[in-house]
Amino acid sequence: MKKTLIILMIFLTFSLVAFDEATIAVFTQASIQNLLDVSTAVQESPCKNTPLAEGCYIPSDDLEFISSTPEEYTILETFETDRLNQIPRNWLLYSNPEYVANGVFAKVIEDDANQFVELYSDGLQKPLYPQSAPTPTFIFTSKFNLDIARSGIAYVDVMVPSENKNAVSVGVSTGAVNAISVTIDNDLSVVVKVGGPFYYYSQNGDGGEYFETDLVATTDTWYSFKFEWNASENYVKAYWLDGETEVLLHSDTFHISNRFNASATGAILVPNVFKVTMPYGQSGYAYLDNVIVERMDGE
Amino acid sequence: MKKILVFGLLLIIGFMQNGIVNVHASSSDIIYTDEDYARLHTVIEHVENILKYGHAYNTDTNLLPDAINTLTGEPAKWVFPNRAEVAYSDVANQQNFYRTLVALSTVTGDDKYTNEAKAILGEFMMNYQNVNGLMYWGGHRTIDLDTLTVQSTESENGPHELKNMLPYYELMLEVNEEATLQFIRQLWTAHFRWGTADLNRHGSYSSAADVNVFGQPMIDDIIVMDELGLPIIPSNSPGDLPFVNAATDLAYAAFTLADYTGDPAPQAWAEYLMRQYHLASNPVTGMTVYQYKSTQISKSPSECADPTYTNSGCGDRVARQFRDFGAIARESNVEWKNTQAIYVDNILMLLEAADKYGIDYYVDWARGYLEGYLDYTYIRIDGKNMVIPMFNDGTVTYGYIVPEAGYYGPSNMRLGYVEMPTTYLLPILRTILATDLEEDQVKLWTYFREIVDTFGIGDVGPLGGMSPDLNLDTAIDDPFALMAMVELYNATLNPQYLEVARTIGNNIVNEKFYRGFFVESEIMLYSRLDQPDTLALLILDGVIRGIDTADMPYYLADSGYIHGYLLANDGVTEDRGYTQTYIYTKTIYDWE
Repeated sequence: MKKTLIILMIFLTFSLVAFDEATIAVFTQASIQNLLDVSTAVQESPCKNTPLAEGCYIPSDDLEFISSTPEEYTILETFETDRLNQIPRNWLLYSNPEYVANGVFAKVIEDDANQFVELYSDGLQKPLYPQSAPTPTFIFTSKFNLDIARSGIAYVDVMVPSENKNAVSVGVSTGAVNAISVTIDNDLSVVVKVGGPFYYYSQNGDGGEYFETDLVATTDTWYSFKFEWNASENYVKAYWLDGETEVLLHSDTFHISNRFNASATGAILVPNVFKVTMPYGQSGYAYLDNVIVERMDGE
Repeated sequence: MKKILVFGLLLIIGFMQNGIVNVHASSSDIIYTDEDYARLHTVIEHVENILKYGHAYNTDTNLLPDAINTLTGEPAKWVFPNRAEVAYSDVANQQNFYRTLVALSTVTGDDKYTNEAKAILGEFMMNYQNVNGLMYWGGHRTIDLDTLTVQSTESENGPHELKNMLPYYELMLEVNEEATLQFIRQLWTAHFRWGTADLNRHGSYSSAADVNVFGQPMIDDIIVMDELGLPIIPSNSPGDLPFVNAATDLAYAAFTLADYTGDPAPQAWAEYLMRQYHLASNPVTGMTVYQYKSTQISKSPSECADPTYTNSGCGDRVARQFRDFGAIARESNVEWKNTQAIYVDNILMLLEAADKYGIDYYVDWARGYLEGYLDYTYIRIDGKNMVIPMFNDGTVTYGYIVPEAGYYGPSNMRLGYVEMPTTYLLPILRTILATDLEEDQVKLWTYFREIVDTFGIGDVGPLGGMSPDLNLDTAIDDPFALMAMVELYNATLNPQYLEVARTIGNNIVNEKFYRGFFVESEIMLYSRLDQPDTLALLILDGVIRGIDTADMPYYLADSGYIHGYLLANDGVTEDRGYTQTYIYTKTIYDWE
């Protein structure tokens, strides 16, 4: 019996060796070999206990960064070289998943050898923010940058048709916030708006201020407007260009919503967006041409 | 004789089963290699660059920006709708960086990094604490690094909000005990209504300090069961939304306070608060909740007629948008959004409380929540760990096409599977390791084994993890996977876990260290101070050195954010969003 037991033990011991190797081969394979290699070949790092010492930690050279100074650029859009029936290059038309296909569109069309942009809005949807503000459905924009000059001039031609017209606003904005704009309203009255909306930051009801003008538009007639701004001298102006005559519609200081933190003493933020809007809640067309933004000196 | 034979056989079998044990190593056997030091070198380089360029922006302060633009070296900036830019320093969002600094001092033996963290916290607590005790930090308040003034990103007077930020209280207490204790007390005063158990994630900076904080009489549980034994979720919250992510921070603070002062009252209230979520959980499935109350309707029907007007005064926002599903459609019961807050951050806090403060039953709660969640929602599809969207009673919403816009997204949105992030590895593993009985570990271990394998790390083997077959060449470059492997190594001392942790650490360095900083990937623009990668690498470094993980800062959360009104990515419209979705998603190609 003892012999049997000893034989069995020897057999099992050999089996164990074989099984263990097989197990290692199956379950761990290269990993065990790696560990063995590591334990036999790898030396301890001399920097283990002196990780910050000279010869261990090598500080990086000064990193090379790019300049964060803005590059200025302007707008010169006559739409003459844009493709017909397409949205013009360099322009962005807002929509979100709630907008239906062709609920808003802006496309280049041609009439009497002149190319310009047809604008349409169904007035059914609008951006989620700012909530509780008269946020428009149709938001058509192009950007410029005059952040170093902090002043500039913008020109635009706009027309509302006699049939299926919509109220339309054109002007310059600081990001999402209007700086100064002109609206041809449903009754064809022309209204200037300064600033706003910036409801959610200041909570001062600074939706912008509206100023009536003596101008009443006529349908199917192009109107030219000019906007000026100068942050150094703290003014914004809107003109109607009646042929060669500049008719001042309104002059004002920058609105509080164009200032840092909507504070009266906050730094003035300068415009960088030319914006065309049509309101929520009504549908119709308007037309746009000759959008120009240039430096105050005309360059 | 038979007994001897049987004993001999058992001995041999036992020896065979431990066949892999003979390659185990104690931590003193581990060689700290040049490759280990190379990883540490990148962490030091990253930290030194953060300190150098973060401090360079305004040398009048010790405060650092939340993130650095790796192309310009300047701070990340919050851009308001009118283009106003704020270089922000939100100390609540830098907690992992302070832990990184302390960990770096621990592994290098040089106090200068800990001293940096102390200098930042010291200046912050000295200058940016409201008289009532609340700090100017969190979701809606930050410090403008240009003016060193407090900036709100919400309304003019944005509220106090912490959601899973879990501040590094140990260090704060060391730096300024009085300010820290005052803050914790006011955190509860400003956010919690003692008489009704209403909790608001927003706290007012105008709230008066309460000398009797935590001294209020304990009230009955507000969650009661219906005749079927299911929890009744009240709809009477007066505009407050008791999100679990805010409650996690309240509870963690109260546990810290109780432990530090020896006063049992804060712990009792923290346990009360956490119990409401537990009672509101589904007793059949085990799945728990995001909140234990809904808001009462305070707005008029005309105001709420527009489905995109998602103010909570129009009532439960899931009940509005998912009304096809009937009574189960409540914000509390959603299991496809905010689940990180429920099943990761909250559970990590519960386990921390169990470990540090002896609240053992939290381990059972954590296990119950995770088992329920994984039993019902986990699915492996196309080689990925995924989650089936559903309510917490098991009602599946997969494939549902949302008929109208609302808080949970636009109309016509189709609910699909949700990818499970690697963050789930830690709560699952830590729950297993905190569970006493093997039989109670089996289910979670089985899920853990599957999930780890699906992430490409290999097989952790049968329960206990003593016989793993890991993929030592894994391509994963994830800090949570790294920390999980380190914690498994600590639990088993099996060197395979350490080796795969080293591989993951190398992957992190190779895939995320660019332009002198750790970034999410090569093309990402910002290096975020709160990223967990450097802390994970230092925890690994410490383990290789034989430093007890209890002596290293501990990972708890990675949830720092700022929320508020900002200029949308189109540059021409206003939006309301988060740093995580607006700023930290920008790539080097988005930079103008």
